[in-house]
Amino acid sequence: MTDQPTDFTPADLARRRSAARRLAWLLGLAVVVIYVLGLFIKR
Amino acid sequence: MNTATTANGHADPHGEGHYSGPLRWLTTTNHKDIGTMYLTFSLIMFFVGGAMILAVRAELFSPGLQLMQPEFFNQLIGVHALVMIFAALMPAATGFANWMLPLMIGAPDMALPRLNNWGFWLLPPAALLLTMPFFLALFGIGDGALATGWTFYAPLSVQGGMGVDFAILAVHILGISSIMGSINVIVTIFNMRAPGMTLMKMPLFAWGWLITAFLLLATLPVLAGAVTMLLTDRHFGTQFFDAAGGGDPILFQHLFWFFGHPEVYILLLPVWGLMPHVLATFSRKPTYGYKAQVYSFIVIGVLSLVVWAHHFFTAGLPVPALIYFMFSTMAISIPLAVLFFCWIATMWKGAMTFETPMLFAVGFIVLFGIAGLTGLILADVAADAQYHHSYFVVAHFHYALFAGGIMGVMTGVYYWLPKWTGHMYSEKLGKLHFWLTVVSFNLTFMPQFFLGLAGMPRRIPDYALQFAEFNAISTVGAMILGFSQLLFAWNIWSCIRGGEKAEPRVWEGAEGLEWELSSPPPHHSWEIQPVIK
Repeated sequence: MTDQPTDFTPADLARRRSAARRLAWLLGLAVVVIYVLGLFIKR
Repeated sequence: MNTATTANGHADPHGEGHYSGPLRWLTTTNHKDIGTMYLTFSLIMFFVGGAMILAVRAELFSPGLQLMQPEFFNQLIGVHALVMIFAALMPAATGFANWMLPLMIGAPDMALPRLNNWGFWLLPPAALLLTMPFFLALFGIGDGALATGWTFYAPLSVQGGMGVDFAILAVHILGISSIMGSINVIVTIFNMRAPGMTLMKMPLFAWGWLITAFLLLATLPVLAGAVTMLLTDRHFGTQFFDAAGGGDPILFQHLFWFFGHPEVYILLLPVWGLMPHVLATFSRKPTYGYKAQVYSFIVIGVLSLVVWAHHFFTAGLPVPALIYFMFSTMAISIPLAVLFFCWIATMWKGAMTFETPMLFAVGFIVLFGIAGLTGLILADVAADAQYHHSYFVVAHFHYALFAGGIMGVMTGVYYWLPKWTGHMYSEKLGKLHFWLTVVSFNLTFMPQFFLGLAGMPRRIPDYALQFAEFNAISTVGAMILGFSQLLFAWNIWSCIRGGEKAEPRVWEGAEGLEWELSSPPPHHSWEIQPVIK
């Protein structure tokens, strides 16, 4: 079911990994925000 | 699906092959190596946690026994749970993700290989921290591991000994490791899929893990916050959980279970994602209700974040809160029933065969169904007032986490082991392992439902005479269950060392990208990207 497979070129991989790194930092930041906000929860 | 796997000759991006021996494993960034390390670590910790609980069951064999001090008994129970959850089940699921996600979505590796390596190597020191207080106590240092149960409830945990501090530190490290793993899974799924593999064409295993990863990111920081507050209450004069200082011990329960309930689904969603693959393979039919299962995963993920207080109905919550948490908890049964329906419909009128993975999958459906039904009983506020803190709860969550979680992991291991090793394992041993596990599991935990109904509280080292018979049966079952897992380890070991050569498509009915690579797959999984139509 495939269509003309092509190499994972270094440029393509670098582009994908760079996008992945940006998203990873964003998710990591969200985690830190939840952690810090949690410390201020009052019941 | 694509079959092109030839090397493209580009430079080795991860630096594998520079080292051999222990240094190779320390520095590897290859998803398959890291997956293997996660799974090996998980198996070892499964036996460590299992040994602890066999000692507990030995103590409970008959009333009046005193094989150990009650404090040590409490420590074993708490550390058993932490080890099984954080060091056995979660790493097993992460091992599956590492090994299989790149193969299934057509990626050459995980998106962030170094983060992947770091995530794994945080685990052994954390496991050491969890168990070290037992050994320190032998030399007169401290008073053993944490004795609060895995829930760390305040104020007991505020007053506890050095073991609580060790566990707090261990939980922080385990949490950081899981967060790293989750971030890697999310960015791999979003950025590394093969061309044409849209989200709605993605294997259900990847969907299960995607929801799991988001749940981990949403809840682990809350657990970390809660145990940090506990640490500051213990050592730095804060009074978050001390009523005398204006704090509130119930706040700890809210924070803990905001993590703790989604954690159940964190442990189960990867398995629910795996089941349709196994059932479809051995029924030789396409998966029934792909979209329904994806939407069910999402709904379950969202609902799991808003039902936490059913774990402490008896703590004195306001009535409107009780009613809300009762109905929201019961609502989870709807998407879960959709999953059960899809699993059964996948098998319906299929050309079924019962190789070991299929036996475990069917066993999972039946036994996990019991967990679901008894969960509905516990979700009822009025009924829970009777069952809370009883052995009914212990039986319920072992049907969920052993029959659901661990048997699910065993399903995955038996399904993918030939792909990983390139060898077939002994079906005869696998089937023997299945039957011993299923029979002894029920022998262990079914009596505990009746013990709970009769009023036996959990976490006690001794009990009234009326509970003697069922406890003896439960202990015999636990011993058979524990020792029969050696067959599992032996079967895996034998399979790694050799055996009949496995084909790329190990199982006749298997569909998916992962079965188009050789068994075992090449060092770099997909160097030519597959294109999905």
